Amino acid sequence: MRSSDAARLESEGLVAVAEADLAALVSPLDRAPAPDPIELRKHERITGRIHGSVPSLPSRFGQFFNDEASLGAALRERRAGLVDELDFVGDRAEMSVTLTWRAPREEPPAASIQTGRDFLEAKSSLGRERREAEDLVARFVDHLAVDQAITRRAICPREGVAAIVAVLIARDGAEALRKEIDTFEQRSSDVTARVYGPLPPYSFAS
Amino acid sequence: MNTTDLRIELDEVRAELARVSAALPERIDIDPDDVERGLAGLVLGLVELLRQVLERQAVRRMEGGTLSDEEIERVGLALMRLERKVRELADHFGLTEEDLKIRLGAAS
Repeated sequence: MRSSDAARLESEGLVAVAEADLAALVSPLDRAPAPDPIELRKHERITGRIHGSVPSLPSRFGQFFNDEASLGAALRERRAGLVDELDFVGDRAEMSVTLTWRAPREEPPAASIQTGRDFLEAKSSLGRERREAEDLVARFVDHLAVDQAITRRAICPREGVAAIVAVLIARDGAEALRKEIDTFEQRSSDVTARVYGPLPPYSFAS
Repeated sequence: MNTTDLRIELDEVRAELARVSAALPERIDIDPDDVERGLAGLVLGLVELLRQVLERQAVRRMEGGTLSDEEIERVGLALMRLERKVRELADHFGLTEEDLKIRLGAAS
């Protein structure tokens, strides 16, 4: 976030570490927190609160720096990229949509693939699924009538899932987007759509 | 394989490598406190990258009908064993599939 926004958000044990015009809000800890549900929820809540207050780039859970100097050095080194991302995201939030195949693809279990032909045919099948998912996402983004630049997509990220698509929206644009997604889902014989958000822009922060 | 086929094949591999190289980061980030794992990630990532390039070529040629049954079996088996070996070594060094991608930029 911008340094000018950081100081007023120092609460819940958070400390602002500034480097020129950029700042990070951190929790002073001896070691990286364990990835247990309580800590994960705490991170999500704090990140949501910060993003709800000021334009900011969320950090992934568990990022740990040995001291303020090393965090400052990281901010200095990555300044240009962070400023670009912050400018790009602006005052927008992320909506995340998981598109799940209605008819699950039947992939042979890896252990059952014993011959070279089986192996290449399985890869060929995965390639076809990937191409279908890419076409589907292109239709989905067209349907939403949003600029490609404000989307991020993971194609076939796991079994049964065609894609996860993240879209940047104005903070008051969530309901309108949900309606468009509902319409797409109703018309699609290929996938169902589950919507999450508005969220801090996790998919748009490196 | 005749000379024309070979030239087409080489052009495709070159194009694939050019596409992949555009995705590579300018710098490779190896943690100085964990050099062995970092180096393993880098080497395995490179091997995996090349394996994926070869796999895509093999699948394309199989779909295009330019591989004989014997070639499909031989190439497929070699790629399958290489994939399993990369995963086995990645497990050994505590590296996930994602670690290999992150270090080299996504190739898939």
